[in-house]
Amino acid sequence: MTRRGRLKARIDDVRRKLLTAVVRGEPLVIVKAPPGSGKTRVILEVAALLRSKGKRIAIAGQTNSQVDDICRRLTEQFEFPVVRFCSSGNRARGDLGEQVTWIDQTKELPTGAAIVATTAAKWGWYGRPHAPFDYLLIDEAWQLAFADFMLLDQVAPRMVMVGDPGQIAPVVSIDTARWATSDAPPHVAAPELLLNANGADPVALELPASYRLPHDSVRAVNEFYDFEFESWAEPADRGTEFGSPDNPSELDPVLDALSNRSIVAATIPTPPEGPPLEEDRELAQLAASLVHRMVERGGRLTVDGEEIEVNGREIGMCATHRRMNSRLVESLGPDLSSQVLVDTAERWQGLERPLMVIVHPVSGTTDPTTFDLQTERLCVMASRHKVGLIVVSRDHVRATLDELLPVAEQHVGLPDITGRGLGRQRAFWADLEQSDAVLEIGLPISS
Amino acid sequence: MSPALDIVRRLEAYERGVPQPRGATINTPVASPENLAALAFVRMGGEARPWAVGFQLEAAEPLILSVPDGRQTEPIGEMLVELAGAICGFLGSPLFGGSGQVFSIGGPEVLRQVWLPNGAHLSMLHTINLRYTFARADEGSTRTEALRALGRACGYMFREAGRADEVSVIDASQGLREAFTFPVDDIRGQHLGLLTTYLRGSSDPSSLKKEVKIAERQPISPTLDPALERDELAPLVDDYNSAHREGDVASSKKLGAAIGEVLADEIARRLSLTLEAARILRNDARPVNPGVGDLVRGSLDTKRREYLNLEQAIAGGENAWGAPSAETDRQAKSAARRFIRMAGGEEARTRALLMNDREMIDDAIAAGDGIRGTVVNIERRIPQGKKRAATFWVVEIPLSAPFRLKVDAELRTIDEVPPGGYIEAIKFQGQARLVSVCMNKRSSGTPPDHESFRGKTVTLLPLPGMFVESKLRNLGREPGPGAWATGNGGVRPTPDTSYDGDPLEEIESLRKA
Repeated sequence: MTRRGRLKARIDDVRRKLLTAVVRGEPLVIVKAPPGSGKTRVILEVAALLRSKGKRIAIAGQTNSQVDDICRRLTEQFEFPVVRFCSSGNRARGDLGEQVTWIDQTKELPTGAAIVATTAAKWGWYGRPHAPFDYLLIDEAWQLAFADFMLLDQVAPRMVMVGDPGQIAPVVSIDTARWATSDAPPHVAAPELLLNANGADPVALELPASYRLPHDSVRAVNEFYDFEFESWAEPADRGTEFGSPDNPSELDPVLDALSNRSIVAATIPTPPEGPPLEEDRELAQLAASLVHRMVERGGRLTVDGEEIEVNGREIGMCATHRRMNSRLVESLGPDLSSQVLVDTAERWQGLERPLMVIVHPVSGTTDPTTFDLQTERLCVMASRHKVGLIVVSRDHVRATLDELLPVAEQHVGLPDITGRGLGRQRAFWADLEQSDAVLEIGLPISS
Repeated sequence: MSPALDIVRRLEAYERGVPQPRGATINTPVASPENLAALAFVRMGGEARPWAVGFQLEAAEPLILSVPDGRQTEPIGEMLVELAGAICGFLGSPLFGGSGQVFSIGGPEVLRQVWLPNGAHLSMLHTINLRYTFARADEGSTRTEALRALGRACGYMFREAGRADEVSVIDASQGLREAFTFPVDDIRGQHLGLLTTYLRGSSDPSSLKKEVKIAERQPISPTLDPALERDELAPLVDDYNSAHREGDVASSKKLGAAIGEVLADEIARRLSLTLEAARILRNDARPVNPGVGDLVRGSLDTKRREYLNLEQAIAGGENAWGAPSAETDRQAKSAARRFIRMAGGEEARTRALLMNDREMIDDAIAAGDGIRGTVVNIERRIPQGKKRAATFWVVEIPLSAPFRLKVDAELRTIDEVPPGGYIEAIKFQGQARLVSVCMNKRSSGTPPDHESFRGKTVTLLPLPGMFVESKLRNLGREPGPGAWATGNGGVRPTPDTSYDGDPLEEIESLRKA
């Protein structure tokens, strides 16, 4: 059997276990999914199968656009009507087709077999005007804090939670020390808690493949996860090719390296006084110049058999700090800034592009804090690409990570998140270095 | 405030050598002298319990209490019983002669504030909460009841102090730092003596620096100057313990008084600086942000819910075991309730204060959390998915300006005329962003003259939603069918259907052709 044949068998095995569990009426199924592994597809299949058996299904997404996407894809693939439950301000976007009925009043909810989709926040208001739903399916469940999950107890007795444990945990801006050792810490991602909770006894499954990531990106990204997965793509499925340069540039080796592997890092020297705070204009210029160069050199992408010309719309950029993102937009200039999507890691969740250029989160500091060492942001940033990823950074990252002795700030009995984060950050960079994929660029950068 | 802006302000303060006002308004309300009290602690090195305590109503003489040896729990308990009467009475506990109400009968709402020198003193509240709330010695004695009451009061104050939108328990040094930017680093900026000395000012900059350095040498936290404790107090404590062991009542009394004098000076200095901080803010020339009224109302409401209701129940004969734990919230629902309230604190504070403080608005714009730009076009058309026409402002902002708003973000104008709307689209043109804002919020008075804004610079800001109360209400509903998974009661369902089909085949058969 080929590698892909074996992988398909593993994927089907997980799908079969999941679908069998919900048809049997297992009260809680939690599916860990790596980036681009078809989380929403899993939700759609569960919804369709249960609906075919006359069940009432509630689907919870985390944002309105996610919910719209679920409705669109459900109706594209299956015949069942879908009810889009929305707040009054969002009614009648009207672009989801006739199979989708929009309602904004609880009293309009169907009383019989149905699929109803809305945001988790909206389900939090659901006051059970009718019989409860049979199943609540929660997409992107790792973004749902336990306190918000508690508001969903009115919806259904049984639940399926699907999400990416490598994504950014629910954002909490307050001191959570009071609940650090609680049995039900309200700030923790709901599935994370339920996987270990007494009496929850979930059926726990893991999707084994990423459809998004190229074959040679998976090893680096897998460093951020506690379970193994593979890339669905074969080496020949994805690729980048750039035309020969008329006017050679110091950036060309980076692009040429990207033709041979999917993740490349480009570094510039760190000033003796340390990297600039928040806004690193030289690094922003490097990132923008790389984007310009990819377009200038007439890049062509291969994505699963399809050939695509590189333009701004195929490229995304990401930095953890909003001010740095503003510098990236500014450095791109008027033409490309309207095409290239530039945003923070939080906003990139759920999105993808063939090519990504990201600013390494530790680039801006030689004294990383617990926040800087959290792996979720780097994990999100490093897993948005389908073909190629360029990581730009100041050149101190390796030394900074090597020399750092993090303080174990966790409470007794809890995992050392900071130490684990540091280990994963080191492993990610080491993987790039071992593959000779870290290229040094001199200053100044020619624009 | 963003770190970069904070650094800019700090550099300005360094350049001028004196604190710079931060914010166009004062955002911490200061209670009237008869409703404001300072509370300070001193503890022995290596000990958690207080060695001396001070409580002072601004309009009265201080109550300063100490014990000869800060390691002896019994005398400390006695000292805290006396403190309990003062604090719990001030907070209005019916167990100590208070009305048990946050409203004075027939009068306006009354904010009573407890000010502490800095965060280290807040931690002492937690210690007392932890040690005494569930004290079990001498069950039923007045002493134990008083200590438990003090534990509950300190627990309430400690938890309250962690909520961003509360104004009942004030960290004095933080209050000053919120109102001024000081020419010092973060660590030195914790020192209340340094902050108040800077704000007292001096006509001679070099003498001001000297005064600041002198003030800074005197500790403000509950820990004493090690030299004072080692060289002056430790011999007295040793002698006191020897005299006490030998039954020399006269000597032990004399030595105890000597120790008390030293500790009283330490407490008095901390109380005095704390009250000075309150007066500085009260007398500041800047106007008080009108939004603090919302914060005051919120704090009074929380005091009733989190403190007075339980005290009243206990006064009515209920037992005190329902008091929140000092360590955590053991019930999932209580944890979620407190978390939602605490997490919503920052939003509530911003919502109350933002629109009334130009400098906070500038900070929000600089952080990309708002729009400041020129209205380059005004259109009248039907928004997507709607039936009625609305007015659109197309606002041009430079590409270099930080920007993190998304389509659909709801915005308000700072002048409230016209009130605001939502972002319909964001486009790029040259070195600018063009943000199309559907100005659909209705104004109560005359319809605004939109055309008069053409070519003008406008500022629009998102106001955080106020979902806290509704979330809490929803959390309080009867447990639903999924409550078993939330630790909130109910029984975990069991698989109820046998199935031996092939679900993958079924799924394929359901797909559209």
